[in-house]
Amino acid sequence: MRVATKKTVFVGLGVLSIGAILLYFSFNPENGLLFPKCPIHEYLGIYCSGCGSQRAIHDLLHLRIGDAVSHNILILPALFVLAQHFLVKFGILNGKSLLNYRYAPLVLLAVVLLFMALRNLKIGPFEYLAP
Amino acid sequence: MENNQNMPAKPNNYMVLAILSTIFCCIATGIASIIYASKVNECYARGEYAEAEKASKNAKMWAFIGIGISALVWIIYIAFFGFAFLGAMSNAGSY
Repeated sequence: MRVATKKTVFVGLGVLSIGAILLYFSFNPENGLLFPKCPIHEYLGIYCSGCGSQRAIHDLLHLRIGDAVSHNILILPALFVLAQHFLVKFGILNGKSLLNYRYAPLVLLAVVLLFMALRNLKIGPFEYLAP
Repeated sequence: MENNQNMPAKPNNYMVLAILSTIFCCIATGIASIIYASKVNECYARGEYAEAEKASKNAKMWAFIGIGISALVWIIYIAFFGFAFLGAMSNAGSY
C-alpha cells in the first residue's frame, strides 16, 4: 500500500513537472498573462529572493544562461546544489550531499537574506541583482 | 560521539523543499522552513532527538504550506485568466 502510494506520488510529480516544463518552455512569463505575479512585489513593492525565477526558468529552458542569471542569480547555484544532492542520494556521485552539512540551513538563510537585501538596493552594481 | 551505538537516525530536515520554496516561490514560508531545518541539525547535534523530531515536523509543515499556497495561487490564476489566455492564443494564429 505504502509503496503504491509512493509510486503514485512519484508518477504524479513526474507528470506535473513535465507539464510545468512544457508550460515554461512555451510561454514567456515576461508577457505576464498566464503566470502569477509575486504577491510580495505586487503589494509590498520589494523584490524577494524568488522574484524573477519564473522568467529565469523560461530563459534556462531556452538555454539563455545570461538572461536567466540576470533575472535571478540564485537559480544556477540552487539547481547545482539540488542536482548534487540527488546525484549523491541515488548513488551516482560519491561523497556527502551539500544539504546534509550541519550549517547548510544557516548558510542558505544568510545567502537568501543577503541576496534579498542587496537586490532591493537601487545603487550601482546591485541593480544587476534586481529581477 | 560517546553514545554512537544508540543514536537514532537524523530526522529529515527537508532542505530540498526549503530551497524550492525560497528560490522559486514564497520567501516567508521558505524562511520558516529553513529555520526549522537548522533547528533539526542543532538539536540533533546536541543529542536532543525528540526536539529534533519535532523541528523536522515543523520544517515539513512550513514547506508544504508554501507549496500549498503556490499551488492555490496557480489554480486561481488559471481559473481566472486561463480562458482569456487560451482565447488570446487561438486568436494569435489568425493575425
